[in-house]
Amino acid sequence: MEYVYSGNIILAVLLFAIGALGVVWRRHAIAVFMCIELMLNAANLAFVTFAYSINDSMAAASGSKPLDGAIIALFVMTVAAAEAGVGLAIFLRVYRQRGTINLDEFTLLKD
Amino acid sequence: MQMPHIIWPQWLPFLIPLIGGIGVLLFDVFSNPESSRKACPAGAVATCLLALIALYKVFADVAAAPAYLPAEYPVFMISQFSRDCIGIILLGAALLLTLSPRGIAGKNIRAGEYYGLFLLSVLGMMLMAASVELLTLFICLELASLSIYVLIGIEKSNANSGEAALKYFVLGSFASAFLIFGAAFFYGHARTTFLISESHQLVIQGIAPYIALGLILVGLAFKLALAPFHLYAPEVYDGAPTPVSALLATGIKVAGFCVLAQALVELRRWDALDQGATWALVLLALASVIIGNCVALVQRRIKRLLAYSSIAHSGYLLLGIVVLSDVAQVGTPQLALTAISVYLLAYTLMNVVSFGVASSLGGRFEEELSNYAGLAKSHPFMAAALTVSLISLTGLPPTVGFIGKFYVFAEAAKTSYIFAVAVAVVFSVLSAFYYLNIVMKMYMQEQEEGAPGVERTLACDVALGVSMALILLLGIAPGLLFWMM
Repeated sequence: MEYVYSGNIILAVLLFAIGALGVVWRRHAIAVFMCIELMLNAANLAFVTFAYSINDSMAAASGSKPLDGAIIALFVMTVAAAEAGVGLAIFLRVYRQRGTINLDEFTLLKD
Repeated sequence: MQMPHIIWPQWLPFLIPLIGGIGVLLFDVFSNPESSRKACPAGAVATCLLALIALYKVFADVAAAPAYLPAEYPVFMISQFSRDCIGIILLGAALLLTLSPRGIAGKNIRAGEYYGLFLLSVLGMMLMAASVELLTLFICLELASLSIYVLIGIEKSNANSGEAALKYFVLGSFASAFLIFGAAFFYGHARTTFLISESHQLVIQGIAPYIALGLILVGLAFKLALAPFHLYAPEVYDGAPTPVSALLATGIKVAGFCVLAQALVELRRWDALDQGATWALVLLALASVIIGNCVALVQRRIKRLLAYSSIAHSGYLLLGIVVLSDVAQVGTPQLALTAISVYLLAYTLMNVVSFGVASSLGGRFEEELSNYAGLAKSHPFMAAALTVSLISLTGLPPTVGFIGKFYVFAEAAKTSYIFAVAVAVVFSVLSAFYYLNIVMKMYMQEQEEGAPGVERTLACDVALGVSMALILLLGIAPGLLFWMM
């Protein structure tokens, strides 16, 4: 399939790559979490772009509804918010106990 | 816009855990801690058993044609295979919930939060096993995962528990991001997010959809703890409260394998799989079998050992899944699916018992393996239960572990990847060393002087006894399995 909006897709791939590299390189838990959010948003951008480039007849042929992708982006945002709620609570709980959320300093469970 | 027409009875097996989970959470708020400590576990176990009965009553005849839910926008499919997987998840959850009161005793955990979240995460796993659409899969996976992140870190006074929660959260959401990004590209190319659809053929062309499916596989492989995505497993299993480690090792894996198997059956039906995809799965399976078994040999802590053993078992299971994707394999996938569901049942029972013994004994028995020396003398029942489950994990008769492994390997040997089966058999012989080493410790070695005994509770004995009986009974008379399913 030809990419109609290839600029958007390239941007999405770049954002995803930046996020993934950030998760690997950054050691501060909040920074890592921001990188994960960036990856989710890259997925959202891709969903919205694809939804825009799939016209009604294409959607009907494959059994989906027009603009499915745009609606999926809303769901992904909701899930990301729920994830942020749980994640930040876990960070706070660990910070209170250990005084740090630098991932390199968590070595209690290393063998 | 017309609202979807919902037929209530079909949703009953899923509504029961939802209502049960929220009910348990609310009950805890409005009652005193003493009574909720007694009522919450009972309510949670009853919820799981009710859901199990409802599941088999409502979906009694899905063997002929799978049920699609909801009718207008069928994002869930209950086939015979996914129904059995959901049943296995519920059975495992009921047993683990029975073991939980002892497992979380004295750990400063609020009963309502623990049992409520446990039920909600079980609901997430059930829905995940049934989902055939990528967004639904993502949301259900997140429902299961978000509850589990909290459950892992629920032991507030324990630094290990918090560290495990942090690690699993960071890596788990990283994996989910891969899954949803893969889903976006799958949507862009196949123009639908449905992996399985009753009415439409899935059209896959070119290399891009395979990259998308690969990203989705990475996300799932993380949840299934397949090598090389297994690095979190030993640490998280070790740090989490033991019944939660067991849920991580059983429930979410059963759900993940169910999704993977159904997706592969569908992709092969539309002839959308090539040799490369199968090879990727074979390599993942072999890596898991080899790494899991080799690293388990040198473990000194019980839960780390069980974590590596569960990685190895994921590898064996994936070999069974490979059968479904092998293009050379002709005929219906029904036999292979049956083999996988038998193995999943066996795997769940064995892990419930081995984690269950650790959590029922508690304290030092959740840590170093050397503490198991002389257990046969001080706690003969626990030692017997652990022995049965370890023999089953090794895959020796007369246990259900043998039956499961035999079926899966026999199916996999029919494909052109027979060398992979040979490697798996060799490494499963190797696994006898570390499994039977524990048995030897329990029966041949003497206990340390002055080690305190552990009091037994009826609930633990019942749960372990039932699972042990099932392991032996289904091992001796495997025909019962087909009568049950």
